[in-house]
Order: sequence, then C-alpha cells, then structure tokens
Amino acid sequence: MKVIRFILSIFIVLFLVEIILRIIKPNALEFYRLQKQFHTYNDDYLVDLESDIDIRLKHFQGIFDIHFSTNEMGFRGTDKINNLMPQIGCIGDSVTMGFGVSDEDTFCKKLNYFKDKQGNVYQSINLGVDAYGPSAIERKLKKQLPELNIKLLLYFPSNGDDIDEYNFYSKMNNKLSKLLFKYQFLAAKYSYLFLAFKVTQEQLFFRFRETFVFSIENGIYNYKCISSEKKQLNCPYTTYKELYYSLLQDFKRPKKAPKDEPPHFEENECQKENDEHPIPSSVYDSTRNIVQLAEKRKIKLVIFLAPIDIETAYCSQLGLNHRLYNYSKTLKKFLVIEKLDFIDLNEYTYLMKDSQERLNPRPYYILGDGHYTKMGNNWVYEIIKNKATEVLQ
Amino acid sequence: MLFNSLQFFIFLIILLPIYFNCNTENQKRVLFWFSLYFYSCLKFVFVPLLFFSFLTTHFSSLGIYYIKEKLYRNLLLAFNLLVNLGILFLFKYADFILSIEKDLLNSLGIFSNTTSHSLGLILPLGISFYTFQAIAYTVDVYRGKLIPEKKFFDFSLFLLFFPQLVAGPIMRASELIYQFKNKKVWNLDKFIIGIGIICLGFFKKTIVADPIADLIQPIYANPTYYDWASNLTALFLFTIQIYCDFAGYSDIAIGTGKILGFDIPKNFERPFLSTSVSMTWRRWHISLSSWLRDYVYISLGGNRVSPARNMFNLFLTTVIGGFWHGANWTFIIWGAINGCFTVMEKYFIDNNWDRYFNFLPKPTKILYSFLIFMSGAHFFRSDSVKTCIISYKQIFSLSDGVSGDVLTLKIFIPVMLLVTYEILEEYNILVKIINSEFYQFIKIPLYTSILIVCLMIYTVVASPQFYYFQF
Repeated sequence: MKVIRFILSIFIVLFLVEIILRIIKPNALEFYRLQKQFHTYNDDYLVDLESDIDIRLKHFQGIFDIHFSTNEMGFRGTDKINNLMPQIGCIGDSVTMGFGVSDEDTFCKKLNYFKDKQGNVYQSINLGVDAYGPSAIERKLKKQLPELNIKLLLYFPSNGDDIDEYNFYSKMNNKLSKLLFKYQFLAAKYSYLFLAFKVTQEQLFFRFRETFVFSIENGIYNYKCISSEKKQLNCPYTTYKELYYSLLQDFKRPKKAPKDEPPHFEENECQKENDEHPIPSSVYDSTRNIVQLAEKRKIKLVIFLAPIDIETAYCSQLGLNHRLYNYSKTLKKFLVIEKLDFIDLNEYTYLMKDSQERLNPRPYYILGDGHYTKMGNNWVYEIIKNKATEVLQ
Repeated sequence: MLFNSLQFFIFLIILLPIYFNCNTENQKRVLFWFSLYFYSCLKFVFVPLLFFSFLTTHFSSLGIYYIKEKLYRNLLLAFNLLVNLGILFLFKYADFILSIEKDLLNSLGIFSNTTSHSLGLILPLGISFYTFQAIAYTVDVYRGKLIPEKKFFDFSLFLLFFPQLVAGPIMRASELIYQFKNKKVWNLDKFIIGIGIICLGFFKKTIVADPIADLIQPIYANPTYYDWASNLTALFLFTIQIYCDFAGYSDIAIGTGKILGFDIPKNFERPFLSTSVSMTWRRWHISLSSWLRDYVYISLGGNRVSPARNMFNLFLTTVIGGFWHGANWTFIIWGAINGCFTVMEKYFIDNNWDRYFNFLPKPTKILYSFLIFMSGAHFFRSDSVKTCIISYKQIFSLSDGVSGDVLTLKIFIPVMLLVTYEILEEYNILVKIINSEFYQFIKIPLYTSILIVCLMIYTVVASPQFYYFQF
C-alpha cells in the first residue's frame, strides 16, 4: 500500500508541476519554451524551424521583445515563397536567422525586393537556423535548393561552427544518441515539465559554480593580489589600503552607466597577431560541397565572415585581433586558397558608429549575447547589399 | 542571501543536519554563524555596521539595567536612540532631507545651485528592521519590562537570527530570546508544517507577486502611454503584489523558524478582508503596527490625553509608519491618507456614529477599506508625487492610450486561488480542509510541486528582491 501511495504521489507531483508551469508560465522558462515551439525535429539535419509560426518572444531580462514568424516552408518571415521571382538566399546559424530581432529587422529580410542593375526584383529567403554548422547547412541546402529559385546564395559561417559540427556528428554518427536527442527534443517541446527539468539541470551546474566556486576563487585571487610580491594584471586592489577604500565604495550607490557607452576591455584582450584555430575537416568538406551545390545549380555564392562578438569588433576598431575571431581568420585562409568569393565583415567595423558618430560597437550587439541588434543587422545589410549589387550585374 | 534563491535551498540543506545534531549551546553557535553568513551574502560591507549597532544597544541596555540614577539611565537611553536612529537617518533619510533643503533654498532664491548634494549611500539591508528591534530592546529594559542578556553573543543572536533579520517580523526580545534557551529536537511534523508555510510564502512571492511586478512595471514607468483601465488595473495589481511580496517573505520566515523549532508570530492576518481602515492596519505588518503602538503612540501619550491630542497622536503615528517605509514624500502622503481615515473612523466610533454604517453588508465594508488602501498604495509605488498624480489623472479622466496586457490567466488564476485561500481561512473552513484525509494525502505532493517549480525558477534566473528589502 505504501509503495502504491508513493508511486501515486510521484505522478501527482509530476502532474501538478506540469499544470502549475502551464498556468504561471515563468518568464525565464517561457522564453526557452517558446524557442522550442518554433523548432521542429528533422531526421536529416536534426533541427529545423517549424512552419507557419507566429510568436512574440520576450527576453526574460527585458533585453528584447520581438516578433518571430515563419512561412509555410519554415523560413523566417511570413512571406510566401514565390518561385516566379528570382531569389536571394541567406544561410547560416542564429545570426542569419536573426535571433533577438523581429522578422522585418533581419538583414536578410531587408534584402527583400532587391533590384539588380537589369531591373530584376529578388525575393529574399532566410534559410538560417540556430546552432547550424556547415554539415547541417549542406544537408539543408541539398534538400531545399531544388524547391527554390535562388540566384544568389549568401553563406554566413560562424565562430561556433566547430562546436556545432562536433555536436552534430556526435548525434548523427551514433544511432542511440540520435534517438535520445529526438525523444528529448520532442519531450521538451510538448512537456513544460521536461523542458523545465532540462533547462534547470543545464543551469544548476553553472549556478553552483557561480555561488560557491567563483566566490572562493575570487577571494583567493584578491588575497593573492594583495599578498604577492609580483603584482598581477587586473587586480582590483594591491594593498590593504586600496582594499579598504574599495570596501568604502561599497556603501555608495553605483552610478548608472549611460546607455550605449563604448565598451572598454583590458589591454591584453586585443592582440596584434592571431593564432591558428583548429578547424574540423568536416567544415572544409562541407564548405567545398556547398560550393559544388551552388555551382551545379548555377547559383552565385558569396561567403561572409562576421564578427559576432563585441570584443572582436572592439579590437578590430583598434586595428587589432581578438582571439574569438581566430576561427574566422583561419577559415579565411582556406577561402583564399580555394579562391572563393568572400567578404570579411570584420574589416568593416569602422562603420560601426553610434548616434554621436563615435566608433562604438555597443549599439550593434545584443547585451551579453553573440547576436546583432536592429542596428547590427542594418550594418550587415548595407555591406551585403553592395556586394549583391556587384555580383548580380 | 535571498529566501527565493537556489542558495537558500542549499543553505537550509546544509544547516539542518548540523543544527539538529548539536547541543543547546552549539545550536546557538551554529545559528549565529549561519545567520552571519546569510547576512554577509547580501553585502559583506554592512556587517561591521550591524555589529556597531548591536554593541551600542547591548552595552547601553546593560548600563540602563545596572545603573540606578535616573539621569544616567536617561542619558544612556538617549545615547542609544541617537546612535541607532542616527545610523538609520544617515543611510535612509539624509539624502531626502538634503533634497528638501535644496528645494527650499532654491524656492527662496537663496541658493540656485542645481548640482546634486546627495550622499549617494546604499541603504544597508534590514537596517529599518534591526534598528527598531534594537530600540524596542533598550526601551523595554528602560521600562523595566525586560532583563537584558548579559552575554553579547546571546544578545546579538537575537537580532541576527536569520529568518527575521532582513525584513522582519520585528520580533521583541520577550518573544524570541527565551526560545534560544532550549535544545531544539528534530520533529518531522513541525518540519512538514514549516515546509507548508514556506510553500505558501513561495506561492505568494514567486507565483503571484513576481509575475505581477513584471506586468505592471511598464505601466508605472510610463503611465501616460497606457489607458485609464490599464492604470487602474496596475494599481489594483500592485496592491496585491505588495501584500503577496511582504506576506510571502514573512511566511517563509515563519516557516523557516518553525523548521528550526522557533515560533515566529504572524505578521499578516488577511488584511484585505478587513471591514475598516484601522482594522486593515491592525492586520497589516502586525509587528510594525504593534511596535509603533508601543513605542511611538504610547510614548506620545496614547489615549491618556485629550481627545484632540489623542487623534493627533494616532495621525502622527500612522504618518511615522509611512515615513518608516521610505524617504520620500510619497510615503509620507501614504501614511497621511491612512492616518486621516484611521482618525476619522476613531472619531466616528467615539461619537457612536458608526452605528449608521452597521447596516452595510460586510462585502461593502471590505471594499471600502480595500479601496482606501489601494488608493494609498499608489503613492507607495510611485517614484514621485508628480508621477502618482499623473497616473491618477489618467485614471479619473478616463484617458485613452495603449491597453496594457495585464489581466492574463497567469495572474488571474493564482490571485483567485489566493483569495479563495484567505476567505476559507477567515471563515475557519481551511482548518477543516487541512484536517481532512484527502489533504493529508495530497499535502506532501502539493508542497513538493511548489518547491520544485520555485527551485526551477530560481535556478534559471536570478530572483528578484523582496519589495520590503528597500525599507
């Protein structure tokens, strides 16, 4: 009887948690749940965008509040596919998809109704899906290019592609792993409880580190700063007197930093030279295959390397490199060797100016995120528009 | 450390086995050090300030108790009040006074400097609460109602006791100190009762108050952008939010105390089911109301003076209660509104005029006291009197504007559940439900569900502070 009671209690708990979550829709969890709603499982490339979605996505910290929709083929935006028109396709990961901005503010959407010099009007199609690496992109293009009338393909490889590739193949090469991924994806999509469990267990480890490990590490570091003979870089204080004055400052209300002030990073963040970043062979293979696919369908292909971190843009504006851009720089060498048509957007960061005409990448990036704001998307659009004009002569 | 955080869950899990495996003296030590850790997690720099207040109170209270000369006793009492209220004034009210001085001089044309003279100090967490506790302790010793603790450790544990340190209830020494003397033994029934009260607190804070705060924040930030209905709904919801936020904190404090073997008195007694404004105040933040009654109202002469003076004492006490909440004209006006109605009701009762209103049905009286509280709460929430007036104008002129998305199911269902809970409790039906076999079976899965949901929320996002922390 006790065992039955216990099992019944577990079911009641699961049921109640699901019901409570569905009623109260906590902001943070709802943010992740809505993201699950606009994704669907795909057997060929694991994840795709759900078709005919219309969602308002509000960041739980108020960082953005956007409109996210997809058309009948699961492409970002509401425009129906018109194969009677020539098309410009954009493909890449979340940066291309336009994470954090509304449909109409993505750089790809801005290319809609682009007119070339002959007067041909193009429909833009956003094929971007978050967390896509080159292998997933190659598979998606193989499947969807025959259904479209694309004349120009803009491909945006990303800094995190090596990790995306690793994740992709770890699932695709292992049947059990793929099956588990499929069912956890579906469970998280349809059960609030499961999604909440998944998000919580992902965050739990980080929060534990943040609470216990970081504070101890910080204490040890501060102690070292004061006690060590050789003063370390970036020490907030190096003597007990400085520590005392720093503690006194804790009594004061911190002044609010003005919005969109230019960022400032430590000197050692930017380097003159960049290091090689190991790139998986699948990235090279897939890139070659994408090129072949485009050639086969007589599609013009342009590759864009984009600085997706504010640190990269900051260093670039100083004429220096940031380690986060090492991947793109290494890939750039490959593109040069293969004689592929590409543009390094990092060379255009001098155009990132704020309302006071200062060099300032801050308004171009979503706070604490690796994505472009409305202004950032506009910046990309201006560059790709010029390139499209040049290519589609 | 916040009650509504992942850290607090871990904190309790570590504390309980250590605490219940100690003898009485060690239990006190464990509570002391864990309480200190709890407070220092919020802001370590305020710990010395806390102890400065404790030391002053401890030694002046001992002095008052042992010295027989009235002059010296008075001097020690004055010294203690001066230090404790001085610290409170410096951190909480100095900027407000400086801004009044500046406005006054500007309006007189004596001084026209527009630069800010504010000290810009952060309000140390819990200062309003522990200062009032410390004052009550000294005054009780002075009045001969309390024998002071000889050991500083025992005395400081009374003020430092973490469940009530940051936002009350403002416990008296006579209510708490004796509870430290006995060894606390693990008791499963008490644990389950405590968890139940904590869950009720989490429900009020995390499931009702926080989502409301998110929804109404844009309306309060820009009242003219929204239509009158949204402004009115925001005002109604804020009243619910502030209750759930603070009552939620008190419930978690009471529940935590219960688990640790302590009885912490109720701080809220269903204030929105009161039939008069004065009754609302007797049921709202009970520990503050009774503190103000015992140490302000009675000190001013209470009802042992002329009727006019008595009315004034009552009004002044309520205004002080408002000012205690924050250094802004909005809080003074909030206190004054409630003071006016409390005085008016007392005048009616004293003259036996209340009989004319007795025919009114109870719901009408409840609505009256709720509406008065709600209209005052608008000042409580607004950043300035000007913003509050703008918002009131928006409501009373039935202005157009954007309709805010405020009355959603995620708010409506929890609020309705809470209202039902309070009505059942008011009419003693809740006790019958709690004692029913069905509830006895469902209570553990229900508590577990609420704890799991809260834990999930606290893990994914940093929890918002309790509203009363700013006081």
